[in-house]
Amino acid sequence: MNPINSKKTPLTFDTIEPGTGLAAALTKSRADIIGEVAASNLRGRGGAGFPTGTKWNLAAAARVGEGHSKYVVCNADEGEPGTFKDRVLLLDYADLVFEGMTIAARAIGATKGILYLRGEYVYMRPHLDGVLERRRQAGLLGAAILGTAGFDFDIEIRMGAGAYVCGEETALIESLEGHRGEPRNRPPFPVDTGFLGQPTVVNNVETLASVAAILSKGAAWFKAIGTERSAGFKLFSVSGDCTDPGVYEFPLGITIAALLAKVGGSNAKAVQIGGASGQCVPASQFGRTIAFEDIATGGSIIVFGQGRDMLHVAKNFMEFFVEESCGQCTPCRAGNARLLDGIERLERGECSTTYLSELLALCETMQLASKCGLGQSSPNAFVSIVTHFQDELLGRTAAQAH
Amino acid sequence: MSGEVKAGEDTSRAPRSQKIQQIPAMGDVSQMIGGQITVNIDGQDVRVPMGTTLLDAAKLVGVRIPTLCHHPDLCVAGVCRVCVVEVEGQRALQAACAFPVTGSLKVKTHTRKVRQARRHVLDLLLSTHYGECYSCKRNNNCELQALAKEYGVDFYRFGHVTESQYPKDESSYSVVRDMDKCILCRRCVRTCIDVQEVGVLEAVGRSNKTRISTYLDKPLGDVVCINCGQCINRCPTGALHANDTSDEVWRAIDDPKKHVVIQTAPSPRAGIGECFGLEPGTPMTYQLNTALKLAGFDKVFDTNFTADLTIIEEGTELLLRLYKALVKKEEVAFPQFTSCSPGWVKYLEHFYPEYIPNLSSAKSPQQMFGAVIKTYYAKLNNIDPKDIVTVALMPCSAKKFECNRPEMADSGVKDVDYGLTTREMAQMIKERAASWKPRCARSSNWCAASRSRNCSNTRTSSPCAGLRACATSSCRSPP
Repeated sequence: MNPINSKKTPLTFDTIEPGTGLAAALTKSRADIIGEVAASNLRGRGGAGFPTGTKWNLAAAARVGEGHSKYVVCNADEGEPGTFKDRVLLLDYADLVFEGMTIAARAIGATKGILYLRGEYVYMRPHLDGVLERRRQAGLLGAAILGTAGFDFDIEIRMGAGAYVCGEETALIESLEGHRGEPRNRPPFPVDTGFLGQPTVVNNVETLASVAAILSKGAAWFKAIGTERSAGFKLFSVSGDCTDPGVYEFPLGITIAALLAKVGGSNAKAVQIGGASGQCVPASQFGRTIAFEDIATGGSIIVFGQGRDMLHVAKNFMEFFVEESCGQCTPCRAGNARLLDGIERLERGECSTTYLSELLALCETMQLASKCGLGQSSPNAFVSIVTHFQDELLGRTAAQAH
Repeated sequence: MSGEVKAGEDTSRAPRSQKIQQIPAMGDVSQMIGGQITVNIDGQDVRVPMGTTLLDAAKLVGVRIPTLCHHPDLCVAGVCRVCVVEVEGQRALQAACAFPVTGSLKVKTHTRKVRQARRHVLDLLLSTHYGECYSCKRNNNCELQALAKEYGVDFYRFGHVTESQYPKDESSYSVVRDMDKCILCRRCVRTCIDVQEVGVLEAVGRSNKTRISTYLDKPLGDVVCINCGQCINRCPTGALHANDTSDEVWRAIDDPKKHVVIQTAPSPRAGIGECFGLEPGTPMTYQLNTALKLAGFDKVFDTNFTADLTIIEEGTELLLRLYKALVKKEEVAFPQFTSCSPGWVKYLEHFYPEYIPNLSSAKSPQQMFGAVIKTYYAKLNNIDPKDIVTVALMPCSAKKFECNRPEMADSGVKDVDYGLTTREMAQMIKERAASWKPRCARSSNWCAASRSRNCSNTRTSSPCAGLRACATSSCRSPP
């Protein structure tokens, strides 16, 4: 098995008996289910960290069009570079994920669920279809779930086509509707105007699995893990220059140094936290914590050893964004290409410090004025590398260029 | 079209993605009551109805926010990001054109961040905008150029393309696409699908390889474009313009062997004054005749004459159809549709071919005119039709396509040789008839602005209100 597919620590999800969360949810009123999720302080595991209870509350309160339904969408378009924890969840804990979706449907009053599966994960499709069919046979999906009159809900799987931007929830919804995967203007938000214009909850795979765990073991149990503002445990996808890459579970609030010690990467020069759209943290800041109040992440940890050329790292990320920008808004479409051009100038020793500061100002514009999270976060890696490793970037000659 | 259409039912084929973001038109917001919210814009309070965009709210207090992708006829896109403003409590800047007011807000429209972002957006757009302004059809009439001036762009901060990146698409008789000048505002895309319900244009490719294209990248002349030119009307730059045949017309005028006849439709006569600084709608019929003679046309005719012929023909055809249906009890297609608008005809041919029998078999006024000139008039004046060049001054780019339809050659040669738009004719007049100064009817003053090229794009290219208006009106005046 691919080492990055393997679990390196026992996961809390192993201790959750599938079905217990849903059974507990069905004993509660809808408001109480949302109350339980809200009380757990669960925040979205995709990286943005929006409080799940608040999202559900908005969707529950939103009005649905006549003849339409509300929707629960599981965002399994795991596309952030260096992220592979949803792969483990979908392969080994699919029941918990679907259970989380069913609980969400109960809470907001949805009758349809969609698993938006990353195009490259098509090999999981037979397995996931099998799980869904088994759940239908067991009365966990379909009409009158577990004998609860009026609770009808089913899940279908829809495949992505490989666009990174479709992990952004409104672009995902556009893609589901058969359009070009491009983010929408917000507001209105999907909880109000989502798939087919109806109230839609879009949650990350891990968020939904966590919901099943919370309903099974209680909000207080979950809240006791992690920090005050970042409750619970979190899966991390660790890759790069460490002895033991793979999927780990840690409580939120862990320091980078402690995490590196567990994965065999203590000698790192820097760590990229949050994937390509995250930030690059130098060794001097390894005392910082991974939590929403300090460094938020969807779980991607990429370790860079002492021998890594940080300009090369920045270039790698920027090439990714130049490839993956949807091309809709000006700052992201043209800005990423300008930043990549700047990096190539740095490589050749042709970028003046004046132009570099101009590029940093452009980064600020992209972070502020881009239409969606992609363009707003694509300069992060470049900015943090320029900030922390400026000496390494400047003063190169064309002969040193890769 | 099959099946009953209920009143108020949405029949547009536009994708939901482009309609769902439509923020309902607010009308004159200052006159509305109920659901009012106070917004503070640059220190001034204004009360607006819930859902008003920040852009509209700012207008009410006299704060101008620049826009590029926004257009009042079209749904919200929010893609150019030039209208970004700072909303208190929001980390990121918000596009004023797309941000609806749903609660009390404090907005600042000219902070450091906002100015920097707008300038950067312009710098980025210019970095990929190939070509220089003085050789552009839209020089002095370009929204990008105007904004660059407004924001003091005096150098290319992020460089500038020095080579053409895309070949021009000149395959269509009506519309030329020049992607080198495109800023990807997608107004053309939204116009084509949302306003005209045709949908030949769409964004393809990603990131900095995004471009506007057609089905399978086919040339515009080979796709289901109806040549209406509404995309040209809304393009903020020179990326779309009419296929200009004025050089060919000049050649005919300069050729002593050619007898050049022009017909003018009513609409350009009302619109052309705008190209000379007059109010849109100023009647210019007689002054235009003078200008055309000064420009070198041998004869000037009024299309109204053949519009009358069209009405007689179409009316007779309707009576014959009724006779067949009611007296002879034959199967006849009803209702009878007008065939005056070449855009409408092509739309029907592509999208509803089953209704072709409903189209009147009569030609449009433009084509009847060409046939009359090259047959009856030629014989009357003893001129070989091959030596006659007929030019049509029309408000619609589809007329350029129509005169090139292969079946429009009853005289043995093309019945109408060239179609010119109002703006192209204004340019010809400025170039040749320099001494002609249009009189401003309202003030009775000689208009000093006559040499100005500053004709507004939004009105003169096509006062025709769009295909649907053309198709549903009785077409007494040809569109």
